[in-house]
Amino acid sequence: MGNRVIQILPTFSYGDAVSNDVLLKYDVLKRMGCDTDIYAENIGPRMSEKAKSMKDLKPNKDDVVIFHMAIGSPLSQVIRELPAKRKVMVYHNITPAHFFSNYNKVLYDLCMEGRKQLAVLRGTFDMSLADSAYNKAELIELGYENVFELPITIRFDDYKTEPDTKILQKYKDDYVNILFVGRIAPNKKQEDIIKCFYLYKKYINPKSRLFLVGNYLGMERYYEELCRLISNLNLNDVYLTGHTKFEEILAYYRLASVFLCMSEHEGFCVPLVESMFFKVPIIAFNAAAVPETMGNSGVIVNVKKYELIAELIDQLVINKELRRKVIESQSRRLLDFQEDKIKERFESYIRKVL
Amino acid sequence: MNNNLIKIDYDNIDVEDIMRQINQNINNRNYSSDDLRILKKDLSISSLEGKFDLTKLEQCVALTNAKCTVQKASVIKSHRRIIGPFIVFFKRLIRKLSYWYVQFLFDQQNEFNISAANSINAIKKYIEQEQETRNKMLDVLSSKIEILTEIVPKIESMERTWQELKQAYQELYNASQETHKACQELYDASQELKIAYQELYNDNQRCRTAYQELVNANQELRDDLRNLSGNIQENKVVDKLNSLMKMIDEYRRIEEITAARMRRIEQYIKSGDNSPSGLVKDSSPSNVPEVIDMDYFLFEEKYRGSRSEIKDRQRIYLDYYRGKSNVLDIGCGRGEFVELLVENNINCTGIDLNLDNINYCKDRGLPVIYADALEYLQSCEDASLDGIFMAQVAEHLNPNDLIKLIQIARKKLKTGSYFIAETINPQSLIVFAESFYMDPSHIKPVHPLTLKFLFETEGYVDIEVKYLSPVSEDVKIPKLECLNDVSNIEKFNAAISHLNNLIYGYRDYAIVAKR
Repeated sequence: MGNRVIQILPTFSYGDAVSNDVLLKYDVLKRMGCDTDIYAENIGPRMSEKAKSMKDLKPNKDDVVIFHMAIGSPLSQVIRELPAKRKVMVYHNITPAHFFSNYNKVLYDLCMEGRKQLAVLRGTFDMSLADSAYNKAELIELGYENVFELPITIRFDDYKTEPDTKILQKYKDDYVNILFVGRIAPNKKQEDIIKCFYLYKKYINPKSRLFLVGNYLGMERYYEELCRLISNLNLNDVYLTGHTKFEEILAYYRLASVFLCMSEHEGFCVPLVESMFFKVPIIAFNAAAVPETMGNSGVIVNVKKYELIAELIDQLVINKELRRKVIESQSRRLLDFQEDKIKERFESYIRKVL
Repeated sequence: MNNNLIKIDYDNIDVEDIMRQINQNINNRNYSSDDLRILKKDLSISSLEGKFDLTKLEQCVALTNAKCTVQKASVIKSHRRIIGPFIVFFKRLIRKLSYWYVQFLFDQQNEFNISAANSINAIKKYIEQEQETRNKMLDVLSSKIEILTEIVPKIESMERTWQELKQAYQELYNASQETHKACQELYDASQELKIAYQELYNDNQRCRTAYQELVNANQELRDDLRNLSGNIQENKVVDKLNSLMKMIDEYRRIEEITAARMRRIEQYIKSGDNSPSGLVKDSSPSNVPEVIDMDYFLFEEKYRGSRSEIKDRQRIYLDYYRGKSNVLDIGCGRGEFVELLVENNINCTGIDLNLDNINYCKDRGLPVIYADALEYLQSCEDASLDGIFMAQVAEHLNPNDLIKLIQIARKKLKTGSYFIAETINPQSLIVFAESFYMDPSHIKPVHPLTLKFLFETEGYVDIEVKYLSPVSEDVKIPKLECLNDVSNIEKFNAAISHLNNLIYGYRDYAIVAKR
């Protein structure tokens, strides 16, 4: 190819969906024969081999630059002025700042800033790739042109890794396990999951557990509130795992009976696809890009009526026919996110700008 | 409705059925309303999103007040029989020992808590007061708004009426202005009419007097005739007849003037124009010189001499135009020469720039046109005229126009035809004292040699200067006739003769030039 294609993002860290997407796009670019690199402002401890610091970037006017946008950062300004042959943005959406207003001032400011920068960056890119139609619509409303929809890349092979046996052993019983995977964050509305679980456990099935798998770093206040809610409700068998290893997450998926998502803002929501992969039936609240990622699969709820959701969990557990059909629908939907398909689509978009 | 709560849209899954099952379950399970209510509560840290809620604030403040002081630790007790007292003792010992390290912290915390609670209470009080004030204000405001909503349409309609009134007033004002102007014009016209009427009345009176005189004279004539039959004195009768004829002439003249004046006034009134030059009728020359706003017709009538006198004077030129068929009289005036030509069957046209003159001539049936000489000549075909006559015009022209006129006239004249230009003679000084400066439309007298020179240079031939209108000998200084021998009487008389020529020379001269 000859062209250098570089990916730039503010924070490159292990295990997060955006970083995973960057890595998989890196593979595609390498396979295409491009001279390619990843540059980030902050590089996580286990990722230093895979990315270079922005400080070491020597811009070239013949570069094709791919910028991953998910939050406000000083890079947004840098990217505007960076000399390049073509600029592409991959838009992963920015969480509306108000969700963080009571919990994390820094994150609140960054999200605010991100929205502003997104508006300013209009016109900077030759092409934009949005994770979802929901994200695409946001860009178009801001006046972006040449916006295409391309789901985030997910490496399904990773999920074939052996799950953590300790966890599997610990919870291997006849309990019904309700699962949600995702950072502990106000926009993900873990409190609503707890409330649904409370009714399910109290009125329907005492032999049940709730796993809220996700890091709460930076969201300690929200985490404490969740703990207080659980304690006020006198609720047992709720597990806020905090930071977990990848193998452990796999174990929770293996254990899960139902995946319950009450999130009110998602730009894509990779855990939904993961649940599809692990054949866990999903109940998801209809918000932002969630119904789009679900496609015609799983169960979408339009209202947060806790007793209704508790009963839905019950239906998915006891109604074997329904459960089978829901899982089947999810498996069909999963095909749309096949790694190769998404990679091929990404490749064809990149060829347009080389 | 249930279909709207959840969405499962594949594999023929009967959502209705599922919802029916779910609803049945919900009913059967007897979900406690307390539980459902508790779950509706937000997390303890309420979001700042949404609207301010005073009830919520009151609840929070009550809780803050209730819990603002750190409670003292409870009394240390033990139910164990044997080791109980020991446990109590040790616990109390530890509490006592730690008291000094802990109590001041508690005190500080309590102090802060109480202060914070007080602050919050004050703020709450303030908010309540403000709300009360605001509610009162709102009441006042809404009553004011009610009044305003009633008043606004009234104001609007008043404004509309005011606009209409304003417009009507403006129209009325404009109309009154026009009326005022029209009145003024009417008044001016009536004033002019009044003057004209007065003049007419005077003229009429004069006519009557003249007529009366005529009647009287007639009566006298009859008497004389009667006398004549008895006492024939021929000479006396002839004298009487002559004087009578003169009187008739005079009467006719006055009548003509009166008619012309009446016509002028009539037109003046009709046109409504301030200037008589506005009386432009049929064809109008574009090159009308600056108009001297005087009654030139009347002026000429008074000072130029009677028509018959002029006609007699101009008879000498007739021979130059006999047998011609297209003669032009430039500045025909009251048409004396045109009339002479017509009487002698010579086809001719008179032109003049004085509309009164033109109308006067037209009344007499003379072939005249209201036109400027240069323009008229230009419009004539080349070599189409066989005579031009121009009396008392040259002194009204500026030199360039005069030269141009002589030039063009030559083009338009047939070969062998005459151009006669009569004008006052500046070589005779009496002319300046008596006539030249009388007429304000005179521009410059033209010296006979100059005029002759102009004709010569333009190629006219057989040019002749005729001196006319001699001054009466009675006026001139007589020669001295001394019987006693005066040595220089000859010289003196020669000088007197020279002086007489200089002062009392011919009043007019004419250039007769052939094409």
